[in-house]
Amino acid sequence: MSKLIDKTVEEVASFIREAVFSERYAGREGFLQSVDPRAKLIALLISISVVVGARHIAVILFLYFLPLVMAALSGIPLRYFIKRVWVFVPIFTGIIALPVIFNVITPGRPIIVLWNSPYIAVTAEGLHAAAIFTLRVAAAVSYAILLTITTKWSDVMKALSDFRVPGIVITITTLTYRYIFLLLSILLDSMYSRRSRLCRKLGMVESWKEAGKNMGALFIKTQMMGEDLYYAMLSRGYLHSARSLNEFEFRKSDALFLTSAILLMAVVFIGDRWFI
Amino acid sequence: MSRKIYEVREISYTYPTGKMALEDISMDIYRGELVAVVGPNGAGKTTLLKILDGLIFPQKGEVRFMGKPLTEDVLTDEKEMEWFRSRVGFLFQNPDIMLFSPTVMEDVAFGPLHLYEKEKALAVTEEIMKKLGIYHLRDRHPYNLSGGEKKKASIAAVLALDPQVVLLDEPTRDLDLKNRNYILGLIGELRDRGKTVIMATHDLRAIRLADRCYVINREMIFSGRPRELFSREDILEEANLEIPEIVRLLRSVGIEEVPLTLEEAAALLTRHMEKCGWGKLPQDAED
Repeated sequence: MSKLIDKTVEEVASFIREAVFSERYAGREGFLQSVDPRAKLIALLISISVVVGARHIAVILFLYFLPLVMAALSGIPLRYFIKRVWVFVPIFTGIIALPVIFNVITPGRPIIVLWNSPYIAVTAEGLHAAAIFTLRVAAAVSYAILLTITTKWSDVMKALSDFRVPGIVITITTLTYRYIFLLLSILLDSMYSRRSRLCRKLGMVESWKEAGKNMGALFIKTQMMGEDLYYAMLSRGYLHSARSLNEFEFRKSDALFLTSAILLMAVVFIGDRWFI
Repeated sequence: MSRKIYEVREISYTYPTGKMALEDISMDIYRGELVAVVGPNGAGKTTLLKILDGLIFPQKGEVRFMGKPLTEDVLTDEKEMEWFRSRVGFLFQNPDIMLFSPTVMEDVAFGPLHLYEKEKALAVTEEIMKKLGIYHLRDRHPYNLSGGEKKKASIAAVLALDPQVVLLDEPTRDLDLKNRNYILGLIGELRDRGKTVIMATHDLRAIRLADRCYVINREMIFSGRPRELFSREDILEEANLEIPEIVRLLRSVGIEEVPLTLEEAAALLTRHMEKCGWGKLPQDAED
């Protein structure tokens, strides 16, 4: 397999292992860690709604900086937090934001003319739209990551369960989470096993063929393991609901956090719509 | 109360691919028994254990647990399911399948949290972790453990519910000698505590511990005591098992009896030597 694929798989595996499974900051003392997960979940949903509805770049920038402040208060290194957010942003925005900058999609004042016939140029309006879109995604992803980074996964699931999210959704999400790690391990092992049996460098077409075979094999193993994983849960009394060792206690401080979050978002929303 | 825990009557199971996994299997398992299910790879041992755990259901035949039929309809009922799951524990072959929570503690607590109140769940989880000597691993991620630690964590996850029946799928597979001895000791301890243990295994040392064994290769091909099994070369061959070396050694000197332990082998050998006038084994060799 080509070095590019090998490297990508290794990097993705180590990133997800670190990012998704370490729960390094969820167990630490900090501002958001002390807030009831249910309050955080409601605040997250409201914040994301306001981010999505915001029209002005200054407001979106403010909404983007808010989670940075909360991350700092929760003892999360800013560099680590920003890196985690901006890994996802190009994935979500790249395909959509890139065409928007051209006059074909967003007509307007040309800034850079790329082609005269047919006429293709990057427009100021296009750049503005792409910037708003990218910032919106970055802000929304920041809130989502802030929740998952400061809350144990089992607590997030329990909070969802408390909000009467259907059992089937909880099951699918739980299985997916538990599954990612197993799949990555299998993928890495099979990659190393292929590498250990390779005696020559593969060409690009060959290496892509190998990657295809690997994906096929992984798909079959996935199916088998998924079934067994579910059986293992069922065997231990799983009833399609999340249970956690931590019992939630909604304190005054949680109510204060939630009220402040709702008020702040309401002010931001009103300001964005009527005063800017 | 009936001593019968499981009654399995002529069950057949076909995989969704159409391949037959089990055909007309019948067996009875009694309270407090240690039963080994033996057979070559792909013989249907794991499928049988899954059926006994009510995870999959045979297309033909009937399984009864403590007199109650074990069917999909029965286990859909939450009360029945709770009753059954708190009585039967299943140790899967691959510990990675069993360990899926962010920490070892949460993994062990998974079953108790679903079946007990939180305080009780926490208490039994801590107790079993301390008993198995893995309490210090409570905050570790299960995927970062060694093979032996993973196995112990999986066993703790099963035993946390203190089930009356323990189903073990290849419990000693992929373990080093120390961990294998530990697991075998634990199996013996479970039997001594009156638990019913059903294990699918290839391990000759584990089979020797059993009160009875079944050999299956899609169909039932043998049912009896381990001693009888070790004397049946044809069955051992079909189960892809080797005749134990000690049995082969005794046969080579003309002893047809089958010992299950080294002590039994030494006694048989001494008796044989005395009979043949070859003298006696030195005392330390017998020990």
